[in-house]
Amino acid sequence: MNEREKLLHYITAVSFAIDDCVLYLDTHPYDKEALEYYSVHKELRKKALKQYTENFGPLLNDNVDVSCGKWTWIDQPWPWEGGC
Amino acid sequence: MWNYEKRLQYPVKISTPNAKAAKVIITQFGGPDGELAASMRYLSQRYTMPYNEVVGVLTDIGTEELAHMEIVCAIVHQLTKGLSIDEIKAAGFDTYFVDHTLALWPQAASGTPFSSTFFQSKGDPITDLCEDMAAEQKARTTYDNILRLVNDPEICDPIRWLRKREIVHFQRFGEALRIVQDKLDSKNFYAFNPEFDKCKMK
Repeated sequence: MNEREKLLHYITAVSFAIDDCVLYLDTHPYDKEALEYYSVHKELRKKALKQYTENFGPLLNDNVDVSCGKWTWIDQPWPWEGGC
Repeated sequence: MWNYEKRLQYPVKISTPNAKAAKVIITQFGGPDGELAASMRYLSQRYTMPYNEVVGVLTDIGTEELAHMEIVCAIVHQLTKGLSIDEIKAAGFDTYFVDHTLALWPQAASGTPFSSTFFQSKGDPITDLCEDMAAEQKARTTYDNILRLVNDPEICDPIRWLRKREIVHFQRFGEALRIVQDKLDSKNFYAFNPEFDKCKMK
């Protein structure tokens, strides 16, 4: 795994922790432990997404850096191509 | 409103094409218990659902199912990419190929096209949540059957992950059903339909 793949793997893991926790919180909206788990992972994901965008390009189309004069959203491989 | 995130919810990396496997796995894209039907079912049911916890579950699971649809499509795409005409014929994939070449099109393994008749949106929370729980189990059985038919560990890994999500979703819908029942008349859950009848709600 190269550096990009490692970071993407980490984003996948930390984002999934949030996805699963969100479903649990929908039916347990006062669960203190789950609320805490959500807060911690939300911050981890935010940081990792920022790091990924700065180094390898955008994963979301509302944080594309256009300072290079080119639309880079379409540059990185698409997820179904096996690179992600 | 939805935003696209340019990554799969669970990674798919298949190195050996296998049209026979693609032929059965496509059923989880457009088949009766597939991810597209799952997503459309939950996202359709939520508008008239009177309880916030349940609307949350339908919205968030319905959204996750779209991500699962993308995973299934990624599997089928990687299993069919670069196939030769001889390989397509040998695997019996020619009947799909003639209509769609190697593009993705939602159908069951039998060739039956995707249809909204695969799911209900009934406007009664007990009815809909019982359907949703059954749907998760039907999808789980389908993944079990795929695992009986396919051996390649690179295919089985994401299929096993998708199978596990069906079990988690079943659990969440079970909790949603309990939440609904707690808000109804405990002597008769069917005394009124809270999605339609004007009644006092707890």
